[in-house]
Amino acid sequence: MANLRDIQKRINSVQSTRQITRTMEMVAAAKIRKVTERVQQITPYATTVVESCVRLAQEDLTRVHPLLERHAEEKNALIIVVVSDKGLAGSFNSSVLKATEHLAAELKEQGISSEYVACGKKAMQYFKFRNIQPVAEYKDLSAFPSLEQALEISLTCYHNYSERKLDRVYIIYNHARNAADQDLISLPILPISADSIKLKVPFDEGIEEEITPARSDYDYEPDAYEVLNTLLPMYLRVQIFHALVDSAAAEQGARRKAMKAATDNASEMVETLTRIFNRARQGAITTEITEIVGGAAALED
Amino acid sequence: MDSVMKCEIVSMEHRLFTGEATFVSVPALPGAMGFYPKHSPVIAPLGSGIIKIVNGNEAEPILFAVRGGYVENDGARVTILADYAENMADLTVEGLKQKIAGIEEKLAAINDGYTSRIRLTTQDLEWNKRLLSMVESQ
Repeated sequence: MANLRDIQKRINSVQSTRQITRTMEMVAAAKIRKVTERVQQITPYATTVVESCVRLAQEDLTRVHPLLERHAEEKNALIIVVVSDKGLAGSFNSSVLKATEHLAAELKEQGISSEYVACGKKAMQYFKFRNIQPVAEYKDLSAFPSLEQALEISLTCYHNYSERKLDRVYIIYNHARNAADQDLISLPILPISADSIKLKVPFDEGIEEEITPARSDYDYEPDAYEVLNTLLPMYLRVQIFHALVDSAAAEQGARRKAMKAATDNASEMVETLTRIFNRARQGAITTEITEIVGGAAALED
Repeated sequence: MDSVMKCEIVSMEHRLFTGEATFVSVPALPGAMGFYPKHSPVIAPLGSGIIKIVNGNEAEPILFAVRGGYVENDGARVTILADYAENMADLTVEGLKQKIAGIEEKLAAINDGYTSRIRLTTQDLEWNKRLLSMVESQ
Protein backbone atom coordinates (compact mmCIF):
# COMPACT_ATOMS: atom_id res chain seq x y z
CA MET A 1 0.00 0.00 0.00
CA ALA A 2 1.16 3.49 -0.96
CA ASN A 3 2.43 5.43 1.98
CA LEU A 4 0.55 8.33 3.46
CA ARG A 5 2.81 11.07 2.21
CA ASP A 6 2.56 9.88 -1.42
CA ILE A 7 -1.22 9.89 -1.29
CA GLN A 8 -1.26 13.36 0.27
CA LYS A 9 0.99 14.60 -2.52
CA ARG A 10 -1.35 13.29 -5.18
CA ILE A 11 -4.36 14.83 -3.50
CA ASN A 12 -2.64 18.20 -3.47
CA SER A 13 -1.64 17.94 -7.09
CA VAL A 14 -5.13 16.97 -8.26
CA GLN A 15 -6.57 19.80 -6.19
CA SER A 16 -4.36 22.38 -7.84
CA THR A 17 -5.22 20.99 -11.28
CA ARG A 18 -8.85 21.33 -10.36
CA GLN A 19 -8.25 24.93 -9.40
CA ILE A 20 -6.82 25.62 -12.86
CA THR A 21 -9.55 23.87 -14.80
CA ARG A 22 -12.21 25.61 -12.75
CA THR A 23 -10.64 28.99 -13.51
CA MET A 24 -10.44 28.18 -17.22
CA GLU A 25 -14.07 27.17 -17.16
CA MET A 26 -15.04 30.51 -15.67
CA VAL A 27 -12.86 32.46 -18.09
CA ALA A 28 -14.46 30.69 -21.05
CA ALA A 29 -17.92 31.35 -19.64
CA ALA A 30 -17.13 35.06 -19.40
CA LYS A 31 -15.79 35.11 -22.95
CA ILE A 32 -18.94 33.51 -24.31
CA ARG A 33 -20.83 36.64 -23.39
CA LYS A 34 -18.36 38.83 -25.25
CA VAL A 35 -18.49 36.70 -28.38
CA THR A 36 -22.27 36.64 -28.30
CA GLU A 37 -22.30 40.43 -28.43
CA ARG A 38 -20.08 40.29 -31.50
CA VAL A 39 -22.41 37.85 -33.19
CA GLN A 40 -25.31 40.17 -32.48
CA GLN A 41 -23.41 43.10 -33.98
CA ILE A 42 -23.00 41.50 -37.37
CA THR A 43 -26.38 39.81 -37.52
CA PRO A 44 -28.39 42.79 -38.87
CA TYR A 45 -25.96 43.22 -41.75
CA ALA A 46 -25.87 39.52 -42.47
CA THR A 47 -29.62 39.02 -42.47
CA THR A 48 -30.19 42.02 -44.74
CA VAL A 49 -27.66 40.77 -47.27
CA VAL A 50 -29.16 37.29 -47.22
CA GLU A 51 -32.67 38.71 -47.54
CA SER A 52 -31.72 40.70 -50.61
CA CYS A 53 -29.92 37.72 -52.11
CA VAL A 54 -32.95 35.51 -51.67
CA ARG A 55 -35.13 38.17 -53.26
CA LEU A 56 -32.73 38.52 -56.18
CA ALA A 57 -32.56 34.80 -56.67
CA GLN A 58 -36.21 34.88 -57.65
CA GLU A 59 -35.55 37.30 -60.49
CA ASP A 60 -34.96 36.09 -63.99
CA LEU A 61 -31.45 36.89 -64.97
CA THR A 62 -30.17 37.18 -68.49
CA ARG A 63 -26.67 36.05 -67.61
CA VAL A 64 -25.36 33.58 -65.09
CA HIS A 65 -23.09 35.17 -62.54
CA PRO A 66 -19.62 33.55 -62.33
CA LEU A 67 -20.11 32.76 -58.64
CA LEU A 68 -23.34 30.92 -59.36
CA GLU A 69 -21.93 28.93 -62.23
CA ARG A 70 -20.94 25.35 -61.69
CA HIS A 71 -17.79 24.60 -63.65
CA ALA A 72 -18.12 21.82 -66.18
CA GLU A 73 -14.73 20.40 -65.34
CA GLU A 74 -13.95 20.31 -61.63
CA LYS A 75 -10.35 19.82 -60.64
CA ASN A 76 -9.40 22.10 -57.77
CA ALA A 77 -11.09 22.64 -54.47
CA LEU A 78 -10.26 24.98 -51.64
CA ILE A 79 -11.10 23.97 -48.10
CA ILE A 80 -11.22 26.70 -45.46
CA VAL A 81 -10.44 25.03 -42.16
CA VAL A 82 -11.53 27.02 -39.14
CA VAL A 83 -10.20 25.83 -35.79
CA SER A 84 -8.72 27.32 -32.63
CA ASP A 85 -5.27 28.61 -31.69
CA LYS A 86 -5.41 26.69 -28.44
CA GLY A 87 -6.28 23.22 -27.35
CA LEU A 88 -8.04 22.21 -24.14
CA ALA A 89 -11.41 22.41 -25.78
CA GLY A 90 -12.43 18.79 -26.06
CA SER A 91 -12.88 17.54 -29.58
CA PHE A 92 -13.30 21.07 -30.97
CA ASN A 93 -10.20 21.01 -33.15
CA SER A 94 -9.88 17.33 -33.88
CA SER A 95 -13.43 16.97 -35.19
CA VAL A 96 -12.85 19.73 -37.76
CA LEU A 97 -9.51 18.31 -38.83
CA LYS A 98 -10.95 14.84 -39.12
CA ALA A 99 -13.78 16.16 -41.27
CA THR A 100 -11.24 17.97 -43.43
CA GLU A 101 -9.33 14.79 -44.04
CA HIS A 102 -12.55 13.00 -44.85
CA LEU A 103 -13.68 15.66 -47.30
CA ALA A 104 -10.30 15.79 -49.03
CA ALA A 105 -10.36 12.02 -49.47
CA GLU A 106 -13.87 12.16 -50.85
CA LEU A 107 -12.91 14.87 -53.34
CA LYS A 108 -9.86 12.92 -54.37
CA GLU A 109 -12.08 10.03 -55.35
CA GLN A 110 -13.88 12.40 -57.68
CA GLY A 111 -10.54 13.46 -59.12
CA ILE A 112 -10.49 16.83 -57.37
CA SER A 113 -7.33 17.96 -55.60
CA SER A 114 -7.62 20.13 -52.51
CA GLU A 115 -5.85 23.20 -51.23
CA TYR A 116 -6.33 24.63 -47.78
CA VAL A 117 -6.71 27.87 -45.91
CA ALA A 118 -5.68 27.29 -42.30
CA CYS A 119 -7.36 29.48 -39.70
CA GLY A 120 -5.95 28.83 -36.25
CA LYS A 121 -2.61 27.50 -35.02
CA LYS A 122 -3.97 24.00 -34.54
CA ALA A 123 -4.71 23.75 -38.26
CA MET A 124 -1.26 25.13 -39.12
CA GLN A 125 0.40 22.50 -36.94
CA TYR A 126 -1.76 19.81 -38.47
CA PHE A 127 -0.76 20.71 -42.03
CA LYS A 128 2.88 21.24 -41.14
CA PHE A 129 3.05 17.77 -39.67
CA ARG A 130 1.68 16.37 -42.92
CA ASN A 131 3.99 18.47 -45.08
CA ILE A 132 1.13 20.37 -46.67
CA GLN A 133 1.61 24.05 -47.36
CA PRO A 134 -1.71 25.87 -46.97
CA VAL A 135 -2.33 28.75 -49.40
CA ALA A 136 -2.94 31.08 -46.49
CA GLU A 137 -2.48 30.85 -42.73
CA TYR A 138 -4.04 32.89 -39.96
CA LYS A 139 -3.01 32.70 -36.34
CA ASP A 140 -3.77 34.50 -33.07
CA LEU A 141 -7.17 35.39 -34.43
CA SER A 142 -9.38 32.48 -33.47
CA ALA A 143 -10.70 34.13 -30.32
CA PHE A 144 -11.40 37.42 -32.06
CA PRO A 145 -11.52 37.00 -35.85
CA SER A 146 -10.82 40.20 -37.73
CA LEU A 147 -12.86 41.52 -40.59
CA GLU A 148 -9.72 41.83 -42.71
CA GLN A 149 -9.16 38.11 -42.43
CA ALA A 150 -12.63 37.39 -43.78
CA LEU A 151 -12.22 39.96 -46.56
CA GLU A 152 -8.91 38.48 -47.60
CA ILE A 153 -10.17 34.92 -47.73
CA SER A 154 -13.30 35.86 -49.62
CA LEU A 155 -11.36 37.99 -52.12
CA THR A 156 -9.00 35.09 -52.80
CA CYS A 157 -11.95 32.75 -53.30
CA TYR A 158 -13.74 35.25 -55.51
CA HIS A 159 -10.85 35.87 -57.87
CA ASN A 160 -9.65 32.33 -58.13
CA TYR A 161 -13.15 31.07 -58.68
CA SER A 162 -13.95 33.64 -61.36
CA GLU A 163 -10.67 32.86 -63.09
CA ARG A 164 -11.47 29.16 -62.89
CA LYS A 165 -8.42 28.34 -60.81
CA LEU A 166 -10.84 26.98 -58.25
CA ASP A 167 -13.89 24.90 -58.95
CA ARG A 168 -15.25 24.39 -55.47
CA VAL A 169 -14.85 26.05 -52.10
CA TYR A 170 -15.77 24.52 -48.78
CA ILE A 171 -15.65 25.83 -45.27
CA ILE A 172 -15.43 23.56 -42.25
CA TYR A 173 -16.06 24.94 -38.79
CA ASN A 174 -17.91 24.46 -35.53
CA HIS A 175 -21.28 26.08 -35.26
CA ALA A 176 -22.37 27.27 -31.82
CA ARG A 177 -25.82 25.75 -31.48
CA ASN A 178 -26.05 27.14 -27.97
CA ALA A 179 -23.65 28.03 -25.18
CA ALA A 180 -22.84 24.37 -24.52
CA ASP A 181 -23.27 22.44 -27.77
CA GLN A 182 -21.44 22.69 -31.06
CA ASP A 183 -22.32 21.26 -34.43
CA LEU A 184 -19.70 20.46 -37.00
CA ILE A 185 -20.52 22.21 -40.25
CA SER A 186 -19.01 21.32 -43.58
CA LEU A 187 -20.47 23.74 -46.04
CA PRO A 188 -19.91 24.18 -49.76
CA ILE A 189 -19.80 27.96 -50.25
CA LEU A 190 -18.84 28.16 -53.92
CA PRO A 191 -20.46 27.83 -56.35
CA ILE A 192 -23.36 29.53 -54.59
CA SER A 193 -26.52 27.66 -55.40
CA ALA A 194 -29.49 29.96 -55.56
CA ASP A 195 -31.72 27.81 -53.40
CA SER A 196 -29.21 27.29 -50.61
CA ILE A 197 -28.78 30.92 -49.66
CA LYS A 198 -29.37 31.05 -45.97
CA LEU A 199 -27.67 31.78 -42.74
CA LYS A 200 -26.88 29.74 -39.69
CA VAL A 201 -27.42 31.92 -36.69
CA PRO A 202 -25.27 31.03 -33.65
CA PHE A 203 -27.09 30.48 -30.36
CA ASP A 204 -30.27 29.78 -32.22
CA GLU A 205 -31.76 26.38 -31.60
CA GLY A 206 -33.76 26.48 -34.80
CA ILE A 207 -30.40 26.46 -36.65
CA GLU A 208 -31.57 27.91 -39.93
CA GLU A 209 -33.43 31.12 -39.93
CA GLU A 210 -36.05 31.00 -42.62
CA ILE A 211 -35.73 34.26 -44.41
CA THR A 212 -38.72 35.16 -46.47
CA PRO A 213 -38.54 38.46 -48.27
CA ALA A 214 -41.63 40.57 -47.82
CA ARG A 215 -41.93 41.91 -51.34
CA SER A 216 -40.17 41.57 -54.62
CA ASP A 217 -41.39 44.55 -56.60
CA TYR A 218 -38.03 46.27 -56.39
CA ASP A 219 -36.40 48.10 -59.23
CA TYR A 220 -32.78 47.27 -59.79
CA GLU A 221 -30.40 50.03 -60.82
CA PRO A 222 -28.77 49.73 -63.33
CA ASP A 223 -30.05 46.14 -63.66
CA ALA A 224 -30.49 42.98 -61.63
CA TYR A 225 -27.22 41.50 -62.84
CA GLU A 226 -25.15 44.46 -61.64
CA VAL A 227 -26.84 44.35 -58.25
CA LEU A 228 -26.16 40.64 -58.03
CA ASN A 229 -22.58 41.36 -58.94
CA THR A 230 -22.30 43.51 -55.81
CA LEU A 231 -24.40 41.30 -53.59
CA LEU A 232 -22.84 37.91 -54.19
CA PRO A 233 -19.32 38.91 -53.09
CA MET A 234 -20.93 40.53 -50.05
CA TYR A 235 -22.80 37.33 -49.37
CA LEU A 236 -19.56 35.39 -49.65
CA ARG A 237 -17.84 37.75 -47.22
CA VAL A 238 -20.73 37.57 -44.77
CA GLN A 239 -20.75 33.80 -45.02
CA ILE A 240 -17.03 33.56 -44.21
CA PHE A 241 -16.98 36.22 -41.51
CA HIS A 242 -20.03 34.69 -39.92
CA ALA A 243 -18.36 31.29 -39.88
CA LEU A 244 -15.24 32.73 -38.22
CA VAL A 245 -17.23 34.49 -35.51
CA ASP A 246 -19.48 31.48 -35.08
CA SER A 247 -16.43 29.29 -34.61
CA ALA A 248 -15.00 31.69 -32.03
CA ALA A 249 -18.24 31.43 -30.08
CA ALA A 250 -18.27 27.67 -30.38
CA GLU A 251 -14.67 27.50 -29.19
CA GLN A 252 -15.46 29.18 -25.89
CA GLY A 253 -18.48 26.95 -25.45
CA ALA A 254 -16.46 23.83 -26.15
CA ARG A 255 -13.71 24.92 -23.80
CA ARG A 256 -16.12 25.64 -21.00
CA LYS A 257 -17.72 22.25 -21.42
CA ALA A 258 -14.37 20.45 -21.55
CA MET A 259 -13.08 22.28 -18.49
CA LYS A 260 -16.27 21.60 -16.58
CA ALA A 261 -15.83 17.89 -17.27
CA ALA A 262 -12.18 18.10 -16.17
CA THR A 263 -13.16 19.88 -12.95
CA ASP A 264 -15.81 17.26 -12.21
CA ASN A 265 -13.34 14.45 -12.83
CA ALA A 266 -10.79 16.08 -10.56
CA SER A 267 -13.36 16.43 -7.78
CA GLU A 268 -14.23 12.77 -8.10
CA MET A 269 -10.58 11.83 -7.99
CA VAL A 270 -9.93 13.93 -4.87
CA GLU A 271 -12.82 12.19 -3.18
CA THR A 272 -11.51 8.71 -4.03
CA LEU A 273 -7.97 9.63 -3.00
CA THR A 274 -9.15 11.09 0.29
CA ARG A 275 -10.97 7.86 1.03
CA ILE A 276 -7.82 5.83 0.28
CA PHE A 277 -5.80 8.24 2.39
CA ASN A 278 -8.12 7.86 5.38
CA ARG A 279 -8.16 4.11 5.08
CA ALA A 280 -4.36 4.02 4.94
CA ARG A 281 -4.10 6.31 7.98
CA GLN A 282 -6.61 4.21 9.90
CA GLY A 283 -4.65 1.13 8.93
CA ALA A 284 -1.42 2.66 10.17
CA ILE A 285 -2.98 3.60 13.51
CA THR A 286 -4.47 0.15 13.95
CA THR A 287 -1.12 -1.46 13.22
CA GLU A 288 0.55 0.82 15.75
CA ILE A 289 -1.98 0.03 18.50
CA THR A 290 -1.69 -3.67 17.80
CA GLU A 291 2.06 -3.38 18.11
CA ILE A 292 1.89 -1.50 21.42
CA VAL A 293 -0.70 -3.88 22.85
CA GLY A 294 1.34 -6.81 21.60
CA GLY A 295 4.48 -5.34 23.14
CA ALA A 296 2.77 -4.72 26.52
CA ALA A 297 1.37 -8.26 26.55
CA ALA A 298 4.82 -9.63 25.82
CA LEU A 299 6.25 -7.67 28.78
CA GLU A 300 3.53 -8.95 31.19
CA ASP A 301 4.36 -12.54 30.43
CA MET B 1 -45.19 68.79 -42.01
CA ASP B 2 -42.70 66.90 -44.10
CA SER B 3 -43.15 63.18 -44.25
CA VAL B 4 -40.14 61.28 -43.01
CA MET B 5 -38.57 57.92 -43.66
CA LYS B 6 -36.28 55.73 -41.63
CA CYS B 7 -32.65 55.59 -42.57
CA GLU B 8 -30.07 53.06 -41.53
CA ILE B 9 -26.39 52.68 -42.33
CA VAL B 10 -24.86 49.34 -41.42
CA SER B 11 -21.36 48.07 -42.00
CA MET B 12 -20.19 44.54 -41.33
CA GLU B 13 -19.10 45.34 -37.79
CA HIS B 14 -21.14 48.31 -36.70
CA ARG B 15 -24.43 50.02 -37.08
CA LEU B 16 -23.30 53.52 -37.96
CA PHE B 17 -26.54 55.36 -38.14
CA THR B 18 -30.21 54.87 -37.46
CA GLY B 19 -32.64 57.71 -37.53
CA GLU B 20 -35.17 59.62 -39.50
CA ALA B 21 -34.58 61.58 -42.65
CA THR B 22 -36.51 63.70 -45.07
CA PHE B 23 -33.97 63.30 -47.83
CA VAL B 24 -31.05 60.95 -48.43
CA SER B 25 -28.58 61.06 -51.29
CA VAL B 26 -26.18 58.21 -52.02
CA PRO B 27 -23.31 57.68 -54.48
CA ALA B 28 -24.84 54.77 -56.38
CA LEU B 29 -22.76 53.02 -59.01
CA PRO B 30 -24.79 54.27 -62.00
CA GLY B 31 -24.69 57.83 -60.59
CA ALA B 32 -25.82 59.77 -57.54
CA MET B 33 -29.31 58.92 -56.35
CA GLY B 34 -31.58 60.89 -54.07
CA PHE B 35 -34.48 59.54 -52.09
CA TYR B 36 -37.45 61.34 -50.67
CA PRO B 37 -40.03 59.41 -48.66
CA LYS B 38 -42.35 57.19 -50.72
CA HIS B 39 -39.76 56.65 -53.40
CA SER B 40 -40.51 53.55 -55.46
CA PRO B 41 -38.67 50.48 -54.11
CA VAL B 42 -35.17 50.22 -55.52
CA ILE B 43 -31.90 48.40 -54.93
CA ALA B 44 -28.63 49.75 -56.27
CA PRO B 45 -24.96 49.01 -55.72
CA LEU B 46 -22.83 51.81 -54.29
CA GLY B 47 -19.63 53.30 -55.60
CA SER B 48 -17.56 55.48 -53.33
CA GLY B 49 -18.42 58.95 -52.19
CA ILE B 50 -20.59 60.81 -49.73
CA ILE B 51 -23.94 59.89 -48.27
CA LYS B 52 -25.97 62.90 -47.25
CA ILE B 53 -28.77 62.55 -44.75
CA VAL B 54 -31.07 65.53 -44.32
CA ASN B 55 -33.59 65.69 -41.57
CA GLY B 56 -35.98 68.61 -41.98
CA ASN B 57 -35.70 69.68 -38.37
CA GLU B 58 -31.93 69.84 -38.28
CA ALA B 59 -30.18 72.49 -40.30
CA GLU B 60 -26.93 70.60 -40.87
CA PRO B 61 -27.08 67.46 -42.99
CA ILE B 62 -25.18 64.43 -41.68
CA LEU B 63 -22.43 63.23 -43.98
CA PHE B 64 -20.94 59.78 -44.29
CA ALA B 65 -18.09 58.72 -46.50
CA VAL B 66 -18.83 55.35 -48.04
CA ARG B 67 -17.07 52.85 -50.25
CA GLY B 68 -18.82 49.85 -51.76
CA GLY B 69 -21.97 48.07 -50.69
CA TYR B 70 -25.51 48.68 -51.75
CA VAL B 71 -28.58 50.67 -50.92
CA GLU B 72 -32.05 49.27 -50.52
CA ASN B 73 -35.03 51.58 -50.41
CA ASP B 74 -38.58 50.37 -49.95
CA GLY B 75 -40.24 53.75 -49.72
CA ALA B 76 -40.46 53.92 -45.94
CA ARG B 77 -36.90 52.94 -45.12
CA VAL B 78 -33.52 53.47 -46.70
CA THR B 79 -31.04 50.77 -45.73
CA ILE B 80 -27.43 51.25 -46.69
CA LEU B 81 -25.15 48.28 -46.34
CA ALA B 82 -21.67 49.64 -46.70
CA ASP B 83 -18.40 47.82 -47.15
CA TYR B 84 -16.67 50.74 -45.51
CA ALA B 85 -18.31 53.78 -44.05
CA GLU B 86 -17.24 56.60 -41.84
CA ASN B 87 -18.99 59.57 -40.30
CA MET B 88 -17.35 62.65 -41.81
CA ALA B 89 -17.64 64.43 -38.47
CA ASP B 90 -15.32 61.84 -36.93
CA LEU B 91 -12.56 62.34 -39.47
CA THR B 92 -9.66 64.67 -38.79
CA VAL B 93 -6.59 65.48 -40.86
CA GLU B 94 -4.35 64.33 -38.02
CA GLY B 95 -6.15 61.02 -37.53
CA LEU B 96 -6.18 60.23 -41.23
CA LYS B 97 -2.49 61.03 -41.68
CA GLN B 98 -1.70 58.67 -38.84
CA LYS B 99 -3.91 56.00 -40.35
CA ILE B 100 -2.27 56.38 -43.76
CA ALA B 101 1.18 56.03 -42.23
CA GLY B 102 0.00 52.89 -40.44
CA ILE B 103 -1.38 51.37 -43.63
CA GLU B 104 1.79 52.17 -45.58
CA GLU B 105 3.80 50.40 -42.91
CA LYS B 106 1.48 47.42 -43.07
CA LEU B 107 1.71 47.31 -46.85
CA ALA B 108 5.50 47.25 -46.72
CA ALA B 109 5.45 44.35 -44.27
CA ILE B 110 3.32 41.99 -46.38
CA ASN B 111 5.30 39.18 -47.90
CA ASP B 112 4.56 37.85 -51.36
CA GLY B 113 1.93 35.27 -51.94
CA TYR B 114 -0.77 37.20 -50.18
CA THR B 115 -2.07 38.96 -53.29
CA SER B 116 -5.48 39.50 -51.78
CA ARG B 117 -3.98 41.16 -48.75
CA ILE B 118 -1.87 43.45 -50.92
CA ARG B 119 -4.88 44.34 -53.04
CA LEU B 120 -7.05 45.08 -50.02
CA THR B 121 -4.42 47.14 -48.26
CA THR B 122 -3.70 49.15 -51.40
CA GLN B 123 -7.38 49.90 -51.80
CA ASP B 124 -7.54 50.88 -48.18
CA LEU B 125 -4.60 53.23 -48.65
CA GLU B 126 -6.08 54.93 -51.70
CA TRP B 127 -9.39 55.33 -49.97
CA ASN B 128 -7.88 56.93 -46.90
CA LYS B 129 -5.86 59.29 -49.08
CA ARG B 130 -9.07 60.30 -50.82
CA LEU B 131 -10.74 60.85 -47.47
CA LEU B 132 -7.82 63.02 -46.42
CA SER B 133 -8.13 65.24 -49.48
CA MET B 134 -11.87 65.50 -48.90
CA VAL B 135 -11.40 66.50 -45.28
CA GLU B 136 -8.64 68.96 -46.15
CA SER B 137 -10.74 70.68 -48.79
CA GLN B 138 -13.58 71.24 -46.35
